[in-house]
Amino acid sequence: MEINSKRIAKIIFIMLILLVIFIPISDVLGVTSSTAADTETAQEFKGFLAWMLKIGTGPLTAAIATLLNIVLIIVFMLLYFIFSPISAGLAFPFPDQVIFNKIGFFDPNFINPTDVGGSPVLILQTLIKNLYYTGFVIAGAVFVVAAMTIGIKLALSTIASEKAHYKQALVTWVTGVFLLFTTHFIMLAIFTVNESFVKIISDATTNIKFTFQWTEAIPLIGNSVTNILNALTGFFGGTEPLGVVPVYGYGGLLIKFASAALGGDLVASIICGILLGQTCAIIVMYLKRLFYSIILGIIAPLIIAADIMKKSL
Amino acid sequence: MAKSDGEKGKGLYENWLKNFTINIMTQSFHAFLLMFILKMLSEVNSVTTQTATHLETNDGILAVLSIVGMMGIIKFEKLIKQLFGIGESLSGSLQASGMEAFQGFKAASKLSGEITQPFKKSRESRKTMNKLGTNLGLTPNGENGTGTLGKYIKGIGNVAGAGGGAGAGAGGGPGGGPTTRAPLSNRTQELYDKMKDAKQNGDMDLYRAHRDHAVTQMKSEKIGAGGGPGGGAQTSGNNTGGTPKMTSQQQVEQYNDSVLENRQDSRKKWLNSAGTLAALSMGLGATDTTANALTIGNILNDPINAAGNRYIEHGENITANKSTGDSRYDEKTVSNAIKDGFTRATSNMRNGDGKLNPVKITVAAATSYVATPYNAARGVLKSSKVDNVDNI
Repeated sequence: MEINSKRIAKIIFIMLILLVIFIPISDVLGVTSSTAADTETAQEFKGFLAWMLKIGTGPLTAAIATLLNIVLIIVFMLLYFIFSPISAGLAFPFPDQVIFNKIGFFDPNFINPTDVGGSPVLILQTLIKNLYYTGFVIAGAVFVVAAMTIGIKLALSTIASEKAHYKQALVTWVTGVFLLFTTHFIMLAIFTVNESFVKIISDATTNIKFTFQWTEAIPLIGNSVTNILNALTGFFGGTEPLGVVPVYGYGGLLIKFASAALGGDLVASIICGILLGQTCAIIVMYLKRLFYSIILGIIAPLIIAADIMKKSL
Repeated sequence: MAKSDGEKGKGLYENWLKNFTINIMTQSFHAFLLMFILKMLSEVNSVTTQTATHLETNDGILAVLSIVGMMGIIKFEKLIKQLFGIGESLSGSLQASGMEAFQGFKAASKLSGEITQPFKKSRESRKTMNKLGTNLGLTPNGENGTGTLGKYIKGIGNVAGAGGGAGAGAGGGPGGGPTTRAPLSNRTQELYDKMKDAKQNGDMDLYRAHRDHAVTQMKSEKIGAGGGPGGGAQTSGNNTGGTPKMTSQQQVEQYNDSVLENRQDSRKKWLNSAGTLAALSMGLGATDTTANALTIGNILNDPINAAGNRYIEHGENITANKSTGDSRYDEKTVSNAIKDGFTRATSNMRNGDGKLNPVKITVAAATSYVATPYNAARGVLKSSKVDNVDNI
């Protein structure tokens, strides 16, 4: 594999970006923590963010936010109606649900598919099996012809170097036959390893939660209602404000900002729009992955046959 | 061309396995990154401040971190694929192999077209000869009682000026007197004489040029068809109003020329077909991949056919050329040149003693017939690109 200097520079640049964002946690925490030391950078960042958040709630921006919210609602509803019948009760394909294999629709494991209704792999399982078997038979025929050709050439060749070449071709042929009969096990192993990794990681993130007050989503009077509820909580000595809803995972974050967006906050609408766009990107990426995996799996026997023919003849 | 085992090692299967593994395992990388980002976000979220603003400052930080993090996850896939060297197509060598197979396929199409030429040409030849024969009142099986084409061709020299009524007339009555023909003008006679001289000298191109010129001259002079009552060859197809007519002799000459030309073309095409098959076999002997063999066969095909055509064109008049002493078209020179060329081209298909090994030739040809459809299918299969995830 050739890694040229451009590629190395690109990799280093991306790593630096990630480091810059994630490493200075103290500064980030300093922005939000009242007990941490207030560095100058943290203060500046806090001030900038506060200004950004403030400008999103003016009367002028509310109208723009409303228009943006209409678009967001349409996209939300589309995704909901498309995926709710096929996602086993989980009505919306949040990115973490897609990545952590919680939605069977995106599972590419056509050898051992999850028993979830609506999964394309489950629906196409018979077709995939038949196509794979057809490719297997064609590859077998090709191997038979290749064996005959190598045998004839080995028998007829008189030059020692040619004989050695054809003997090597025979070894390659045997390797090819072995791969032909074991490739589906290799694919199954790859699927299993991936699913195990993903399960371990998703189990580690089940308790990550965010909170939001659903009353903020009420248009026009949302702020007032939230303030009343907070006052009541303080009056009765409660620690958790009324109307606070816990949400989990990345999807929870999306709901949190969506509720703020519905309250007329333009910045929240923009943030929600970006997050929704990224959700669509993840969905498209995993749909592509699903079909590429199926196609790659189906053509596996033909690839083996073609590779062996190329190497041995 | 022969490849080393090392070059052959980086094959389709390795690239397929790499693609498949990365395609599936990308999810694990994504999951790990997402876990890292969610942990980070949860730490930020756990530090809360109580303010009256709609969105808290920490919510803004949450938003920035989540957007940047998710962007990193989306871009990470492309980075991973670049790190593992997965390009645009399924295999790094697929594009080169696909081009190779395509070139071979094109060469095969051209060569197979040349192989079938004799069959097409013989069909055209028969049509031309039948048409001309009909115009002269003849049919191939002699239904009109005028004898076969072969007999007529033999008697070509005797028809003009002879009493050919009974022997060569379509619908002719009892044999009449000798055929008469209208006298040729001086110019036409001159051209006719030049035609004959050129033919005797073996210069067929000049002969044809003078013949065509003579026909044009005669048409312009409107020479009538010959033949007295009850005899003579009639031009059944040419006696349309206003159409210039030729004499019997000229018609026969034209027919004779067409026969000779068709025969020559037919021989050329058959020799070309054989030359094409020979070129294919030579290509196979010289290489070890069918696609390259077809390409090389295509390259060899043209000079072999050119040599064969030259042999045919001048072979018809070699006897006449001997008397002129022109050594360019000498039979020995031409045949030696063809032999030398063939020896050089088939050097890989010979035994140690220099003799051609028919088994090697047969095996090579048989292998090519088996491998050609396989390679064509492989070219089609490989030419379908399976892209990686694009920039989203």
